[in-house]
Amino acid sequence: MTLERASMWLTHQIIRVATRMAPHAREEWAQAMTREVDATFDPQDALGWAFGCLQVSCHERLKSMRLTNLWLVRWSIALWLALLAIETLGYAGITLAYKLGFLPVSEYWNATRLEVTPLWDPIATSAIGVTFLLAIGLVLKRRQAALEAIAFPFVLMLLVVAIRFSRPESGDLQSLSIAYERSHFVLVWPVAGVLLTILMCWALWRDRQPSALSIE
Amino acid sequence: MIRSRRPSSQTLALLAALLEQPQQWQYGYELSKGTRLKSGTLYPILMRLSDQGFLHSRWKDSDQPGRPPRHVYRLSTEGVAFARRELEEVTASESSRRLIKVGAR
Repeated sequence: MTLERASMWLTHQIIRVATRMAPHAREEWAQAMTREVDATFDPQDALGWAFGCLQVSCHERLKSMRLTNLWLVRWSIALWLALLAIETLGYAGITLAYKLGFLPVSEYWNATRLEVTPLWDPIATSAIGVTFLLAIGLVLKRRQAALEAIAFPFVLMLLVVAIRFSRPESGDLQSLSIAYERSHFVLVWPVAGVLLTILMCWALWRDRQPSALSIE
Repeated sequence: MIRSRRPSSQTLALLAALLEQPQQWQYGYELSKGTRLKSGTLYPILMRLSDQGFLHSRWKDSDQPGRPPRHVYRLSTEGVAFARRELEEVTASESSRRLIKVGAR
């Protein structure tokens, strides 16, 4: 097989994939751009054209997809929300139990910190945790309200954390500075968590946009 | 309120190419050669212009026998007005920029 024939064979394979890859609403466009290959006499030019078609088809396919239709995306969001709910409800549960006298004084708990924490903090945090739990159901059922059920408690959570850090008696800021001095990477996980949640909110928001294309 | 975005330089190049002969149907490959836009850039612009109602497209039988029909494109009436307006704005802003540069020297 000469190089020229190999190139033409590869071009036609790419064209075939590009035509299949295009979403239903762009089928005609996919055919239109792939047929132009016949007008291209230079094999290298044709190969470049075919790669361009594949790029366009992939892009159009991604644009037309609802990300939350993919079970992997839905379950990943649900798993992340479950972790957030466990974290917030665990914190709220321990703090509330201590405040209400159900938790015995022990070396396991930072009693000084629990003492200075105002009562509204665990109440607000438990509301956040419950909303995250609710959001899990909404995400798995592909409800539009899932975005609000994640975004509002998430913003509230950031606000509560910011207030905690702004109060010197909580000791949170000091603990963070000590941890930061030990390792500068200590901030990587909270920042990654915030970015991940923003990414999930973006995916939910994107799926709510009325799209000209639909593969459904 | 609908946010209006300035067309990219590639879109302007394509609009200029289509505006050269607004009544004539043109093939995608010809447009690609004329504008030096690769297929991966050209077709998303053509699709967008078509979605916005600025471009007409249709299938045209090939001049060579045995070849399948090909898509051809030309600007719609709205497309011609849009292309003229955008290209005039670019020309005006470029000449004013040139004047500012000359004034600054």
